[in-house]
Amino acid sequence: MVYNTVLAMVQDVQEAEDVCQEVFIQAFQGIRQFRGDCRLQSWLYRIAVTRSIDQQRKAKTRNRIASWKNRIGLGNPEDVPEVTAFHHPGIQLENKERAALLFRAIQQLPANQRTAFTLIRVEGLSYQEVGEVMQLSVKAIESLIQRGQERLRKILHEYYSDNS
Amino acid sequence: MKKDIQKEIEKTLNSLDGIQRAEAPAFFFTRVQARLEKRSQSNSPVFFLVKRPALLVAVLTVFVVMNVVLITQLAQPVRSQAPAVAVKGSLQDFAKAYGLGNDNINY
Repeated sequence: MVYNTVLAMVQDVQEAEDVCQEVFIQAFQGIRQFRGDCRLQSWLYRIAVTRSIDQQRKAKTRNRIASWKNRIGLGNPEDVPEVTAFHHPGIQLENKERAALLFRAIQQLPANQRTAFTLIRVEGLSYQEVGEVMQLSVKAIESLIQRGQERLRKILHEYYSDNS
Repeated sequence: MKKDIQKEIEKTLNSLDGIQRAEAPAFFFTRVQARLEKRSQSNSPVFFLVKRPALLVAVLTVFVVMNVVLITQLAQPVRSQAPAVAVKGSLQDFAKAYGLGNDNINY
């Protein structure tokens, strides 16, 4: 459950494992701070989502610095990772390429839309459960999903227009 | 053409239908346990100092300075004799003033 969410968020197997380990360590060390005002599962999801977003932010900053360094001739070209398609292991074979495209589009969504979309579409949580994780109302989650889907449609439209 | 693009978009948006949950890699929890143990070890007071060399050097410097000061103070016995002589002199004066000397006793 935690690994699946983190993997869908960070979209890298190695990083997902690292983040997932951090999630369990944080949960183990902070279990006394768990007040019981939500389900333990939601609390775990919250840690996983926060950690994943932090990780992505760090990775983006790292890549940006590496590309700046490259531009001024100080960096190593190998430090800038190539953008590779992410293939989730749970995707059916016939949907593999489309799902990789969708995952790439999801990465372009704002963090809260990405979180809501991932928890609902990849993890299969209900709107209410996602609301509990993100500490938002069901209406707010519905709105996030709707805006996220509109944005995804736009991104995919651009992609298919350019590639047809 | 536009219809085709819309169809593609819908298909892509629905490509996550029926997705299976990814399982954590083998020995994942063993690795988490090892990492937890490593962290709890590194929280011990010895590791606390080892991880901070500046603090370690400062503690050692204070320790050495305190020892040096103590040793130099103990190595000065001459100073402590002067007050003893003074005390002895003042005791004799005191005995004389109150007639407590051996000379004044008549049996």
